[in-house]
Amino acid sequence: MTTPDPERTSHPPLEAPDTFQVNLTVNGTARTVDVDPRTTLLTLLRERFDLTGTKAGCHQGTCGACTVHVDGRRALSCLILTVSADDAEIRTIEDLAEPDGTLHPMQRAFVEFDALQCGFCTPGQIMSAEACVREGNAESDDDVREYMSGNLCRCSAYPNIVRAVRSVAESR
Amino acid sequence: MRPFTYARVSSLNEAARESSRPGAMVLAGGTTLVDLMRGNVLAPDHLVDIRRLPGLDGVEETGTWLRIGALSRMADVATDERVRARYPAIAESLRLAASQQVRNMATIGGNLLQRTRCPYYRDGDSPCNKREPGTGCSALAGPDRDSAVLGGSESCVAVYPGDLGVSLVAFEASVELLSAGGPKTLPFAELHRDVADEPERETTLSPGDIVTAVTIPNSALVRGSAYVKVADRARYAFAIASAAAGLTIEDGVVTAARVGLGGVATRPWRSHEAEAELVGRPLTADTAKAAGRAAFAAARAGRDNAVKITLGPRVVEQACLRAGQGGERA
Amino acid sequence: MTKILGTPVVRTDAVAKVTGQAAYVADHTPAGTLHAALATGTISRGRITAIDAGGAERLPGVRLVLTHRNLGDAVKEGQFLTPVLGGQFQTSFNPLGSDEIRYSGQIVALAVADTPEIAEEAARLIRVEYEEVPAVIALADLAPDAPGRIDLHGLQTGDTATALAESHVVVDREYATSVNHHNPIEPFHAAALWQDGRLEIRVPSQWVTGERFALAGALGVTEEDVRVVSPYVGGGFGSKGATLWHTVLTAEAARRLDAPVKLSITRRQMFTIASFRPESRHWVRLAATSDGRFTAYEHEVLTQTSRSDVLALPGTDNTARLYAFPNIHTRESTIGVDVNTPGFMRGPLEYPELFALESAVDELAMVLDVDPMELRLRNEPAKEPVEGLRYSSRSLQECYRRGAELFGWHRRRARPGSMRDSDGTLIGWGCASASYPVFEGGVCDSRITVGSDGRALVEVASQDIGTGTYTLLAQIAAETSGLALADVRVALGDSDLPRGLATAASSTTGTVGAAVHENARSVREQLLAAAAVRFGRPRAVEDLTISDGVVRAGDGLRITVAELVADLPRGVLAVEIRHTPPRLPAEMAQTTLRDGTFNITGPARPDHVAFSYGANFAEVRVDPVTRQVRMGRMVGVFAVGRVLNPRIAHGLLAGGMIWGAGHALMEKTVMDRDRARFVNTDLAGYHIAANADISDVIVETVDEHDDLVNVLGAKGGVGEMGIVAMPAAIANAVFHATGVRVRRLPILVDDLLIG
Repeated sequence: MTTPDPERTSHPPLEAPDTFQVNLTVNGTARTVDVDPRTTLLTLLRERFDLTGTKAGCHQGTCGACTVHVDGRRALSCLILTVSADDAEIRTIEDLAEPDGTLHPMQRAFVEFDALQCGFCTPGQIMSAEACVREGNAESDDDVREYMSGNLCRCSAYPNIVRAVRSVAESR
Repeated sequence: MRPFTYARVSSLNEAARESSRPGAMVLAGGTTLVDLMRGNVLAPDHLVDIRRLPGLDGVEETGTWLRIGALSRMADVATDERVRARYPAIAESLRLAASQQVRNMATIGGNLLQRTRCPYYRDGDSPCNKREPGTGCSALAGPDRDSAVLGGSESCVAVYPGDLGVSLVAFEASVELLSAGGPKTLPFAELHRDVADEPERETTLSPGDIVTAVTIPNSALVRGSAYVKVADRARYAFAIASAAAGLTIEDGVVTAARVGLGGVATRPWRSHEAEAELVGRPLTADTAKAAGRAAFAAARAGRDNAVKITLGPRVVEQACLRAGQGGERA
Repeated sequence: MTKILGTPVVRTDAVAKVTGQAAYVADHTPAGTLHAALATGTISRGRITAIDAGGAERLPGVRLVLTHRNLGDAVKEGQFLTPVLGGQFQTSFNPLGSDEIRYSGQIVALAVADTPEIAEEAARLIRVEYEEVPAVIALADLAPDAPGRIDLHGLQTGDTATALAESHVVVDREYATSVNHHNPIEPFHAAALWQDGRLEIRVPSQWVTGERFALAGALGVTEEDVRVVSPYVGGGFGSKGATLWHTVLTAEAARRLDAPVKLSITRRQMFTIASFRPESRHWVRLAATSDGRFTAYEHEVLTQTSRSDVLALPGTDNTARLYAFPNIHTRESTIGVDVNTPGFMRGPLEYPELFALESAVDELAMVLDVDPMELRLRNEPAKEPVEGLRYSSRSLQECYRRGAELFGWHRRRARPGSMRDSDGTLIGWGCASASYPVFEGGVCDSRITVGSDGRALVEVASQDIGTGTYTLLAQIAAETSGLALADVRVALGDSDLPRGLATAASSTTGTVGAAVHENARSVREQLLAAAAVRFGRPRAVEDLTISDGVVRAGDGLRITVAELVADLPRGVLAVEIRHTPPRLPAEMAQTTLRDGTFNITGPARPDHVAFSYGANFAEVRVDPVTRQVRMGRMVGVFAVGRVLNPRIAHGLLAGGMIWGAGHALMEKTVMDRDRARFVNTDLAGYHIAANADISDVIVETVDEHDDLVNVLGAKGGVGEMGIVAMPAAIANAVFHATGVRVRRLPILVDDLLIG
């Protein structure tokens, strides 16, 4: 038995991948970058821009740790090819607190309600939660449970996450 | 991920030209394609990014139909007031799919063409006729709890995993396409092929065809419709079995019925058998049960997926009863 | 004195975590870093007959492909981790040590390239040919007494055979649990860098000291030449305790390339390159008199291990001491199958055995027509039944009383299927007892340095895997030394720090905490002595108090710690101690120090046993048509000795209870028995509970004072107590809702639709 032939498709020979120039706004700053078309937005943020607050948990769209805002909406940066995000406005966890360090209300709520343990899914949870409240999907505990289900927390801080998100939704 | 060339297109003509190149695949929301490329399941030579095509997103409604642009995001359609009010099974099948992040990214067109979640297709190395024609089907011999009980063949039993497609097939949606010969319209029920002996060919689309919109007739059937989904996890999971149902009832008797099945079949599955069982009878727990039984009368279980045949009828039963109450929220 | 211990202090690392500033292993990328990816094999047993890395090596940007062909003898052997004086490795089998394949998904190559994309592509291009032989993965494919079965452990008290024969009722049942994978959200990684012959490696680790010994041995360098850094760990649950071979391979690649190398591992690979919770089968016989007094407990256990190593998970030490069993007979054994070596996963010894026993107790209660909680209360032991020792403390009854009150247990109707919601939803209520042994770790060092600014740094090579170690140690150091909490900083996760212990067996607070306590007490004494000198009354130390960083005398004199330290010869007070747990055998202490072996002791001690206890209650809601089970309320009341930080402890306990819900209702790694491999190897196929799966979770701890366990009176178990009994409570609740008894976890809708 052998492994499958990696060249099984019968199409033209490989060419070295072109790089593409991409313009993005990341946390309010315009950036221009040449990327391999295979580079995901997640890899770009982490490995090229050193914005490592956004975490890689699965690279398959199955955990939510890489959640960022793309044009104001929560999205999974692991499933976005950077080339296709040309002209997009990206916001990451690094941009949530004020420049003077004052925490965003959602960050404060996560601290106050201990809505985290290991902290690895936390940036994704918070970016997701901030959007969840803006979407109007945090009007009840059950709403929050449903609309925060795209962010897995293996430590299972879910009850405290629900409390944190609800407290922010209610104070709006 | 295998290297590929990339083109972003800004017109439909350009899209058609680029996507008919050998080895080309269309990139829209990317939630299926990027995942499968990363997992070495799909290896396009050329990627055609159609996200910026103008005029392909948004919902339109007339008195007779609802039209959803192919680049509309699942999340936007799920929360559209018109869809929620008059096409509840469509809205519910979107709401109960994936997660809000995925729904924010995934397009309607891409969602219809979502690939199976069969683990052998996805693992990138097991024999799989769908991924590598002629290598065999690992699911037929292996643990097959996720495999289809309807529509399977000796070559493939992979389940069509989508939710929206279940509602679309039930409510007789149409798909608008741009193809080499120009625009054309196809009944949604004809978009996916039966597995037969070519599981690698999932749809009737030709290379270069691009889905541009889906239209759903406005009818009393869909207005009170319901979508029921059962999965191992409450959210962010694929269905073990799901069902979309819509009924019209006059003088206490069902006059017309539509039933679609999900999570159990190789393609979006319309159950005319269940519909026939309902029409002409009052909607009761017994007739709903009978409809469920009829829907699965021809189902065949493998080793581990008898659950789909025991659960499926109950899901149909519940969908019918909810549709009878006007599509009560899950 | 300011009260710091026992108060719900906010995690000291919370702000770093909510801002994304907490730097996990993969967040650190030195300039010039090369990226690595793994290629894993596709057969389950056999040999590699040919391996062609040419396609990968020719790819522009590829720097190195390591395979068994070119690894050579650069990498030495590694010893398997066992809980008593074993090595540090997850398995003794080096996947690139030879052409042998022992399990599906075994590492066959590591590719290093300039970018992550090229490295992944290179790994994909490696062609491997195999000679395959038949393989076995599932216990179901082996007879219970198949050749190769290894007896691990057993307990024998009294005469169960006679007692069973004479008992009024006997429950004789088989139970089973499935393979589970830890699936921390942070994947495994390794990032290695050699400088001047010294390795600095970042790896998410529950045991930096062990990793250091493991890497030094395998790479042929001294321990001093290895530094393991792991400041934050994105969840471990047991998976990051032992050294994984890819860590060694990454270090070796970095050594050959003389460049920093960072390895990323895919979620799919995580299912095969590391450990997992083995499946288990249980045969339980539980007997009682007609008035519900237990007369005999027999429990036979069989678990998977690999063909490389013998994993022992002796869980009946725990269950046999839960109730007043006059006659006990247990036998625990394992058998090697074609898998990577399984290991420790949250509640490893406790959850499977408690699921079996606590299900059997529920079945017995049904037969006896006794309330299942009442049956448990009726069998409260005066002394532990195995050796007749006393319990250091035991508050199970109190946990049940309080839990029943919180849950409303008295409203339960006994007959299965008799409770329904207004919409017809079937309601089921179940309970189960949680029991977790108090383990003690080995020798632990600690250093506290107080500067002339009055601020202290506590250093110990322990780890915080989300369990609050940074915060708890700061609390212990501050309260014990008399400094303000805000003036204490804790450094962890670095093997260059004073030698610490594995974050394992929920023993960190009791053992590392005891070391820091001893260290802080010494700091306090030295500060008071210095103050006494300053006050000019050197014999009046006992008149002095210290809190919030200020020393005060009875007559109103005061001086700050900052002032005191500034006056010391070097303007700094540094105290380092070595804490040896009082009951640790001297020989074990020596071996541990010399060889870096893992050891824990407990729960049986010379004159007592020590366990934490808890009462768990679960409500399930079952759809009458589809039979889909949804969690209702979960209540857990626990007795864990002194609770040092209720905010953190309650979160950990709730998290464990949610794990219990996941194990009861969805978590299962599916095995392809014909091909001997795991099937659902991603987070879409392996379901861990999502937010929507969980409803209200209510956690309380009871006041409990235990002077025997350790100096802090903290029994521990907090990290694992939550999961151990909740699966049984939920299975019992499912029975109560539906009348269907499911004896294999997880309970899926499949189980409730049969018949």
